[in-house]
Amino acid sequence: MRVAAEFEHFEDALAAHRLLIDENLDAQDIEIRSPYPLPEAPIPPHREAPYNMRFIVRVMWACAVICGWSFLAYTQLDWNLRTDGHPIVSVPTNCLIMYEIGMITGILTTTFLFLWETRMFRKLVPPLEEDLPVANGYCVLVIDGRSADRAHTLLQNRGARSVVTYGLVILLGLMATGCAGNGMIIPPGTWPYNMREQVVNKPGEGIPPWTDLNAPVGEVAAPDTSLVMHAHAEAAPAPFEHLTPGNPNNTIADALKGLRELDPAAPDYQQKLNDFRTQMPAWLQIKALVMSSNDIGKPAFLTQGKDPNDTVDQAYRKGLDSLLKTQTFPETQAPGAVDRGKVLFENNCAFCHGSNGKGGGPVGEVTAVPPPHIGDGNIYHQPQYTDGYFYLYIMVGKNNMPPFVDKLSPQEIHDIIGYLRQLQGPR
Amino acid sequence: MAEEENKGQTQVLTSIQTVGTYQWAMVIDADRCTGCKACVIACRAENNIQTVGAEQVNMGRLMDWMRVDRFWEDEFHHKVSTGRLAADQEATEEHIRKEAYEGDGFPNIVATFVPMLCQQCGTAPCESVCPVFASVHTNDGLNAQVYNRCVGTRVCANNCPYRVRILNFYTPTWDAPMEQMLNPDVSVRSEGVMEKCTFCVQRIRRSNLDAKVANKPLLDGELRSACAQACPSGAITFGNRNDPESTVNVVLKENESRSHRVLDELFDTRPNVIYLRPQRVPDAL
Amino acid sequence: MTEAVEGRPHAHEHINYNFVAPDMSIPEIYDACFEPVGKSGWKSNIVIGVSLLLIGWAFFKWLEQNFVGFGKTGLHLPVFWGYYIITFVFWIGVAHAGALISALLRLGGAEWKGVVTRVAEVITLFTLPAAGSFPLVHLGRFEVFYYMLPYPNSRLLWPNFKSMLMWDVFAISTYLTGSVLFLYVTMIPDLGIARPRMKGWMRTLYTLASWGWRGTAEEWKRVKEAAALYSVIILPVVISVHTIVSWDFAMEVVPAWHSEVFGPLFFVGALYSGVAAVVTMLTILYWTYKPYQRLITSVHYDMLGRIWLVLGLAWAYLFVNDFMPAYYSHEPEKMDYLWYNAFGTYAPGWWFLVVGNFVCPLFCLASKGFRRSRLPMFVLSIIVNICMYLERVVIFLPGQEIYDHLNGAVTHYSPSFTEISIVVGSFGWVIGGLCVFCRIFPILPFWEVAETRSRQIEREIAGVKVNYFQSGE
Repeated sequence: MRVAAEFEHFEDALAAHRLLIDENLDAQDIEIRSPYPLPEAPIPPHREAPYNMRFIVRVMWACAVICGWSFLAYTQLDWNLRTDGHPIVSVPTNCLIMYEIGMITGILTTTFLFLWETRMFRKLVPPLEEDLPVANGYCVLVIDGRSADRAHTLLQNRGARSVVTYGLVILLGLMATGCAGNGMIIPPGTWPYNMREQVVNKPGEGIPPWTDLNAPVGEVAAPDTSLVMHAHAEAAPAPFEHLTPGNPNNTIADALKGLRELDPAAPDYQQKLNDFRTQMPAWLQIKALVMSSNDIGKPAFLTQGKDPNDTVDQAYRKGLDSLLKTQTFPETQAPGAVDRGKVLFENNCAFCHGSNGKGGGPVGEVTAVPPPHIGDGNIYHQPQYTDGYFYLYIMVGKNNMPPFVDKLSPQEIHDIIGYLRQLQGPR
Repeated sequence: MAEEENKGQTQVLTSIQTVGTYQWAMVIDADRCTGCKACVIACRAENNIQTVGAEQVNMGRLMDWMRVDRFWEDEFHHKVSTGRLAADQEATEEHIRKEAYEGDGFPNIVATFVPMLCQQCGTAPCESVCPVFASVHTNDGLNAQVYNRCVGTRVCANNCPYRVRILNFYTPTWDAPMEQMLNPDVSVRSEGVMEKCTFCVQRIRRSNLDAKVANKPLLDGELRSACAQACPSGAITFGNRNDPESTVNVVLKENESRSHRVLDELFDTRPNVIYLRPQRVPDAL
Repeated sequence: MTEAVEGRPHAHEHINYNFVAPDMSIPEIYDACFEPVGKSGWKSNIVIGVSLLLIGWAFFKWLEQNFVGFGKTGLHLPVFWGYYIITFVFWIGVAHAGALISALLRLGGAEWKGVVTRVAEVITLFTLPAAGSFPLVHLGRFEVFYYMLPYPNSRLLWPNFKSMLMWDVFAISTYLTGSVLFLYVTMIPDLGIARPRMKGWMRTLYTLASWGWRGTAEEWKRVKEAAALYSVIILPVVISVHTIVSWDFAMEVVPAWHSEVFGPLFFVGALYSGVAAVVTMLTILYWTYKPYQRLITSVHYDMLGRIWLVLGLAWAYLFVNDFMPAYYSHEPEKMDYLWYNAFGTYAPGWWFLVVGNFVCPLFCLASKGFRRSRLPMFVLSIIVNICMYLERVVIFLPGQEIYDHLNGAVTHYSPSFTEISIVVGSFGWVIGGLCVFCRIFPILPFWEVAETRSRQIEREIAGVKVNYFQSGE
């Protein structure tokens, strides 16, 4: 099975990509396809392919030059037909031939390496029926293999729509004529990412049954049907029962479902909420809280300006916006916050960011992407770097930075922000 | 004066480095040449050169391997001879006509004839540029043209300062009885290949083989090229430069001060055809 | 705001670009670029038909020349290299536009390159075979042309690597291979993107030709790397090719040709005529296909005009330099050649060349208003290409006609009907080939235009201020 989701903007595709990675989907199965070159830096690597075109071309060029010299020497010195006397052209000019041989070798090597490296994991020529909506000018997130069904659910939960029945009809019709999977245009969903979704079913492969949807990754059952999408929404498992603390196979979908099932009027409501908070990993809690449609247990900044009629994603967007717009948390000004923050910073952050927040940390020196100098007031006094900004990314992490939400309490994060502000100096 | 000028060149001539037993060479005495073109006719007969007809000749496709260049010697011509424009040519001809027919008495004009043929250069410009080695050097000093190998790029013709290489524009044909006169020793060239004077290589090879069969060295005088054989005034001498007693060397030694090689100073081609300057002095006429 | 900080890596780049892409969405750009693909019209049918007739007639005359004899040409002693070689050098010159312009623009990272690169490369694709065929047509014995290839025959007789014609064989085949692969590899993304939208045999063709392109990040990384490598390799090849072609002449003893300045003179002249050919082609595309009118802006003309102006100055310097040393040293043969050009048989062509090839362009192109106007640039490009053909004529023919070290004879050469037919046939091949290409493949590279546009959209979202040139008409 393969799932392909279309995005109008690269950033949206990238955000969905991150979400899937965060949900422990295998990065090997997810790739971004685009009709124009994308900036490479933010895209997580899809495959670890050796990449040494430049080096090999140089080596081949050198070999060709050596071979060209030997060839010329052989043909001109080792045969006895005399062209007597001296030519008007001197022998070193012959290096032109050698030069051209070297150049053509470089060109052919480049072509060969290009085709080889892009085709390394695939068939030489793709099947005619393989069809992707890249031509519409959108970025496409393609999830292959065992992660596809989970990704499908996740994306669907975030508002993507799919018209699988129509798709199947078209698919069957086209399979009969030998070109399966031809152009399914699906109406856009309500998700602000403006996502489209498309399921391409390869012959001989199917979709695992929906009951195994939440099983750990290693236990995919035999293919059954592709109508899983509609069936899935109807039957949900009981909340939290299958969640175990610290289990990496816990998914955000599970957490969300459990949270939605909670009934404030129920007698064991408080007990269930406590279970949720103790059993779920903290980062899952945060995400589930951010994404959930009800306000249970949410921090204040997530409920500001909330309209009860908002959809899930609208609430999410509003919550994030209000968080990022929070210029100053009063907690960071509390007495003793800076002193506590100094200790916390040196224990948690200084390894990468340096003891003064301006680089030089022992780990930050060796990472491929150098950590930003968060202690530099010239940069981080700009208006977009609010306290909310630091709060959010300390909680959920950013790029190579791990999430600290399960290591630091909100108070501790506030202390660290207070210390950071002192490092950055007065505005 | 003339001897001093020529001293450097004659030393080069006499100290030519040779390879092998034979080094074929030719000496042409411009004093003796009358411009009768018997050599040209003999060359045609010997080497199966095609007759292309008036139309082709008018187009400039005369196939002769040998031509007789004509140089006018007079004050006026020397003045204009640096120019190569058509206007200069016409002016020269006009001057000659005027001198000859309108002047009083015999025209004050002297012509020098220089038979021009492939110079069999020791360092030939045509050899180094041929992409397929159709133009190669032989051990006896000849500049050979391999007809079978030639692809007809004509780069050799462009690079020949003497302009003695000719292309076969059409496959040669002979009318009915005329093919009977073809020389069986010489191949008939096909369309699209370059050809040029070979120093009558068929005669050289035949004589070499005869001498070998008779088990005696090839003596001087046993072998002459067709042009040398035909020249009525004995202006052309052909022989072996490696034999100090050969006619070529004797003539050369007698006229050492007059000997020169055409265009050698410009291109360093080291031709195997050596010319003897005319001794006439214009003032004496 | 968060999106700008979070997702767009270009937001904090220091940006100094000078080209603003047309205000179109990516699907709109796709539709515009692929508009002529897969369609036919009576106009292009007529062009292709006439081109096929010309090619067929030229092929017939070429066969006739091979079977009847090389005398079908107008060549004679001492003019051994005629219009075949002139046209060969002319096409080589036009072909130099492609690889050089696209390689330079790619390496320089010019944002306006998108529209120009493939046009230039496709011109190379068709003019280079046209050029390469002329040395073969010009052979006295075409049937044994393979003697010039370095294959180990039964007597181990290799070709003569000291001959500049062999350098030609190597240089041109290298350049042809390189430019075809350069064009093909940079076209693979477009083929892969357009594959699902094609129908019938075009779909099969695009599928096979796109070689499984999917547009993943790794594939983009590699195709950009390959394009950079090609650019780096092609640049010296371009320089070597035309220098070697000029050495075909400069290495010979013909006085008018034996000149050190020939290498740079030919190279710069080739680029000069190549840019002119690109301007001609762009204008024809602009007039032919309406959707292209949003993509081909006056900024492209302005930029090409600047390159053109610099090349024109360089060419003028070198052209004058061909005669100046001869004039000051009173070298008689070279001066004969100059006077023969200026006042002899070829005087009208020579003076037209002087006026049309550097007096007129240098004054016109110095004006910004001229560079940005379409029709005058088109007319100028046609004039310059005619003049560059004339330049080859007045270099090659008089040089041979007055070339005689011994008796000063002057001959005249004019092409025969066979030569004219074959030369015109090569024009038919180039024009018809370009027409067919436009109908099968996108002549404007979709992905390069889209890349520029998407970057600019990102920049606009991120609020980066850029000083743009005005692109208005």
